[in-house]
Amino acid sequence: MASPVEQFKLKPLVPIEIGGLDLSFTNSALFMALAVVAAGVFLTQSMRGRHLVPNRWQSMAELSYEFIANMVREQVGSDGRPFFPFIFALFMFILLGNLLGMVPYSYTFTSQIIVTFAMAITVFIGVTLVAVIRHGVHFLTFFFPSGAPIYMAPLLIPIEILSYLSRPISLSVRLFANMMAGHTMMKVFGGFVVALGVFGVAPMLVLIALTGFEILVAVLQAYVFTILTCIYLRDALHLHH
Amino acid sequence: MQDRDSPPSLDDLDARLKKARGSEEDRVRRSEMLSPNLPGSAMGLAFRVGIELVAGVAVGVGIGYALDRWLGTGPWLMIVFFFLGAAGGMMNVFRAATGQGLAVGYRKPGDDAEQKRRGGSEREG
Repeated sequence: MASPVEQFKLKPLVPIEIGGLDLSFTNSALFMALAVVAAGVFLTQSMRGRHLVPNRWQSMAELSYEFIANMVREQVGSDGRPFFPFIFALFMFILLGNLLGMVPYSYTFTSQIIVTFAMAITVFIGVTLVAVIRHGVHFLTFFFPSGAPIYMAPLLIPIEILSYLSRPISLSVRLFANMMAGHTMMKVFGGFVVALGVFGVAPMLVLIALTGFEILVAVLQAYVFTILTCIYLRDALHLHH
Repeated sequence: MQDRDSPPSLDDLDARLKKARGSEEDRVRRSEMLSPNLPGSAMGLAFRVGIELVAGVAVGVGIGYALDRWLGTGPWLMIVFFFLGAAGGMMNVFRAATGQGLAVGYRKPGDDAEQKRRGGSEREG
């Protein structure tokens, strides 16, 4: 029987090697492309009718749009509007990646730390650049809380900088750990079902509950990643203490 | 009998939609309930706190180790940055636990709600 972590293995589908670098098109890349295509098809096809009273698909597309639009408005404020396309794309990409991963025999690319870290570091660098461009040198007050005694600065500033730098780590680890742990657990219980024969009914019931829970986690983690991006963006746009 | 050959006007539809969705205050209250402690459950908070602690230490040790290799200063910078990173992680946990969200700095939770009610756009300084 395959080990529970077998599912996370990268398999090159189209081997590509450029200048000694392995740039193969892997199963992970395939599902990233599928997620992008699925998001595009979902949004364009469901909005094709443009009904005044939406049908089911159009309603789903409008709901996801409004959900993120409201999130940006409430968390970031009105000057967050230019960032809406990025945040919406990020949300749809993670959401569809997580949900596609729930399809049997598929690959969950969000269960790879490098994928989530790449997204988190993009958000982190982007948000930092926004803060520096908007506030210039004033950005540095971010690292020293107003009202603290000045002789605390040598201790407080490094701590604040480190806690700022830990943001991309915690952002990426949260998504990665949730997806990887959930999928491993499902595989382990699936192994129990096979190994226990008739008594496999008990782990089977757990597995059914776990599958539902895992779909919840898939949606929730996409939401959490997006709302944290919004919160970081708000901090960058309005430096406050 | 009401004459129904013309569809209801868009303004009318809009007004009815607004009414059905509830007032603005309702929505703000709902979003406040949802937002600061994200996954809403104790387990979600526990998970978040755990990740926050580990991330702080990991970043501290990583930076310390890199600086040590660069400057050749033995294990010392790694030790210093381990404690700084742990402190940073604990600070993030403190912020998460006191409901200040994940913002840098020391805002009070009351401040946050106040600012959100004002629309969040005129916040500076």
